[in-house]
Amino acid sequence: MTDTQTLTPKTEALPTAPPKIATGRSLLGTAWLRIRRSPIALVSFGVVVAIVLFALLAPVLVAIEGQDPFTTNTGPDVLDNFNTPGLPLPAYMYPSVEHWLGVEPGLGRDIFARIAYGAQVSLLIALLSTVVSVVLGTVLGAAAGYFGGKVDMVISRIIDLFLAFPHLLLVLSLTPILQSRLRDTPLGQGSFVPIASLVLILGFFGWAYLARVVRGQVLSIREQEYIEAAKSYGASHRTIIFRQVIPNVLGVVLVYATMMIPANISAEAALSFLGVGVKDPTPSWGQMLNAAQAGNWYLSDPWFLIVPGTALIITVLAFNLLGDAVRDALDPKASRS
Amino acid sequence: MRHRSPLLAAATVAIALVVTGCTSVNAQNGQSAPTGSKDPYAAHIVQPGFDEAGGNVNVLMSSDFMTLDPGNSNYVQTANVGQLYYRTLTMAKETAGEPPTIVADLATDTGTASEDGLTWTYTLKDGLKYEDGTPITAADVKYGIARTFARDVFTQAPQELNSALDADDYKGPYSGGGDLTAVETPDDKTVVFHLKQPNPDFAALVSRSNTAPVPQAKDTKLDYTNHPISSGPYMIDSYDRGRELKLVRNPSWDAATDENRTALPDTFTFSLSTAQATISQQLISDADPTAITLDSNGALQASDTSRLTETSVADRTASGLLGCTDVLNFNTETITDPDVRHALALAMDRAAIQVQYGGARFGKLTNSYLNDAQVGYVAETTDLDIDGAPQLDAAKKLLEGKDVPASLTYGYSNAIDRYKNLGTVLQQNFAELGIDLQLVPIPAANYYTVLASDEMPDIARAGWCGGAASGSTRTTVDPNIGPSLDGTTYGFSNISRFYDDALSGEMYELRNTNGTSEELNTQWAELYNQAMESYPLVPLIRTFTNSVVGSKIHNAQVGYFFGSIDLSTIGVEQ
Repeated sequence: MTDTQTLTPKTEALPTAPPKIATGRSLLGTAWLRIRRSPIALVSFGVVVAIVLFALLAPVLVAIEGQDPFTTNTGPDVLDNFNTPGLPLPAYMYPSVEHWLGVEPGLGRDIFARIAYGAQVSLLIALLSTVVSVVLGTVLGAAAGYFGGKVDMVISRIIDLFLAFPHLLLVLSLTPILQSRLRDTPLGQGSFVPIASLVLILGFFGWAYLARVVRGQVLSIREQEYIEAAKSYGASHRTIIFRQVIPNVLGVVLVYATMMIPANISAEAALSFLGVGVKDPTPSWGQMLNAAQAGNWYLSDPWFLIVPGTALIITVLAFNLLGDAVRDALDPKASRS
Repeated sequence: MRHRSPLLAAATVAIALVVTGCTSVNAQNGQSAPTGSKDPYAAHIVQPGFDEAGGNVNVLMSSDFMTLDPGNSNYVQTANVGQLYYRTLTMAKETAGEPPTIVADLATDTGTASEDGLTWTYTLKDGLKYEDGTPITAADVKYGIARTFARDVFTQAPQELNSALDADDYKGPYSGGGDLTAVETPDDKTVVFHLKQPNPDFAALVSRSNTAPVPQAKDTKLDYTNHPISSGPYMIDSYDRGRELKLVRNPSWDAATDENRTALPDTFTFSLSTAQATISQQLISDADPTAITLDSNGALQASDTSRLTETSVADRTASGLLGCTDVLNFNTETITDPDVRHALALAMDRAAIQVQYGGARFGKLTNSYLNDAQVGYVAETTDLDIDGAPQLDAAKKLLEGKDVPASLTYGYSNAIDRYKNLGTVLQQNFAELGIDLQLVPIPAANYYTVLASDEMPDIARAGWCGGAASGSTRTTVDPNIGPSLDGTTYGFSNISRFYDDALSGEMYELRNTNGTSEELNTQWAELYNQAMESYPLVPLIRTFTNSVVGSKIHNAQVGYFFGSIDLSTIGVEQ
């Protein structure tokens, strides 16, 4: 729900940009035209829309299925209690009318329900953390490029620092600390803390590259005559940055944002896989992969890896292809050959 | 005492229903069920009755021994391999499926107690020698014991014997703390112990590695683990830490002085960094017919267990019940109301928990952490369902009008997935009572340290294996829910922090009582039963271990205490 809302403001913000573009068509208008001409772009766009709908409608779909993502079914009629203890019996291992994708080994929870709710978690975290990165990267990059001098030097060094930082190690050590520090607060109930800390961490460490690119763009934009003009009739720096500069780098920002979403989906899955991300019982694809691996269930049947793995691949691939398409559409000069 | 080795505490992979429960469950599954006439938990010894010497046994392990130093070993894996290179005054002799028997080893008998039970005397056998041919003396035994008091050096020194001795102020031989007067050596052959309190099971405490002789001149403190001087049938040939350990025959060992160890193979080669999944598959496929493993639960992976039913594998599978029971400890300082604890215990779906441990094949659902093979056993009085079904109505009734906590924490060792899943099961069960359970991962390396600290969660799992005296219900000097040694608070091994003025006081008094093992242990069992009525902990599963061995391995039995293949009697075909 919030997923789409967070994206809308950005697309609506664009119409303020057109007056500065020399062509008759708006930036987005041109881009949309190009996207419509590319079959890959259309298909990936369709898949992304389908995934978002799937996530949004998860409660409805799961209700239709008649299951929920949390109820365990460990009875001897569902899980094998002798030969391969904990493995679902054949009737429950694979898709059936009752359990559309079978049940998990060990706990017997419905896999379809967990995939569907896991999609919500994945998309929510990926979109929110992208928003954090984009806001930080755009504002700091624009400030560095626009002001230059000492401001530029300080921000650029911070960017260098963040780019050189061993993100994965930091995230691996920081996430459990954040999660345990907040555990005893009212915020510590449910899965708020794991989700919020993933959003903050992924967001906070994803902005540096974008900031550097934005800074480069702004360096050339600030020399433009319309900026001089704005300055000459006394517009404040704030006004110039937000009204004149940032709208002109939105194309670049949009491209990076669409590329960042799949990266963040993968990162969330990887962190959950490594056990520092979303915590049980909150469903997450990465954690489903982890469960299949940690219990060695994949040795009994790769099905438990295939389901969450496929969901992850389809999602990341669709977002990546869409990102490519958006880049090509907004910047036809970029390499595609 | 808690066993901290990954072998027992960290990794009981098992569960099971009692005979009847098991049969009915399998009948529902439509799977081959053990018939009523055959106890599914009967011990199985692989190819017994073998007596040919020679050959090499390959021992596959996923990690190195925590230590080889008998003075710094609280680990059952070390105790098992230790049978090969050190001897103790008495020895815990394993018989699969039963508590070990305490027999004489370096000493001529299992000890003579004085009338008041406070003095025990041992005499060394003749002809005992170290690997370098020098004689083993009573002074060396005393020095070995003295070392284990130096807890600043040896943090994992076994303390069961020490806490029974009248030596509370002694700090070990390194800090110039004087003489260990609680152990006297009037001559080269005699060792006399002075106890604080009478203990009819003292011979069992003497079987721990404390009494392994260490020649003072050869003591290299923490480096001693690299080459402990052998007093047993084998000695260390080479030891590449984390990779390989090789044991060869000790030429100075005289079989005439040692009737407990058959010492059949010429050599033992320990490979110390083989992944568990690899060990499991190699053993099942008989890739190396001379291989065994000391890993917990025979290194078996859930996905491989279906192959255990194949006859060719079943014949090569040593199995038996261990003395270890996995329990869920309540923190009785945070969940203070016994009725609330009782309700939580009733709400638990222990059958679902059993599935997390690997199902019926790997252990037995139990309502007590004691068992009927122990001296002094008295039937337990807990009212949990023996088939593990939750009793929600009874639980809800108990909670009526109670101050029910809205949220509880369950701490688990983060290295092991099944313990997290166990928490997920509890989360479901407690949600039925309107209680939100938070799962708190604890780094595996610090798990027991955290449980002993202020960070102790409301609920935590632990493996309870008893101690040296595992053949009796008291099981150790510092029993599971017993008081501290001075009687004023809960004991070191008491993870639940259970302390009840009346009951704990009686336990403290019982420590001071002289009597036969049978009498005293019966009283212990009765006190435990009374304590258990307030549910300081919930018994879950008694471990049943299966360990597959290579086809040329003989006399392979799973030790009740060691939890893995007993190395002292194993043999290999050439």
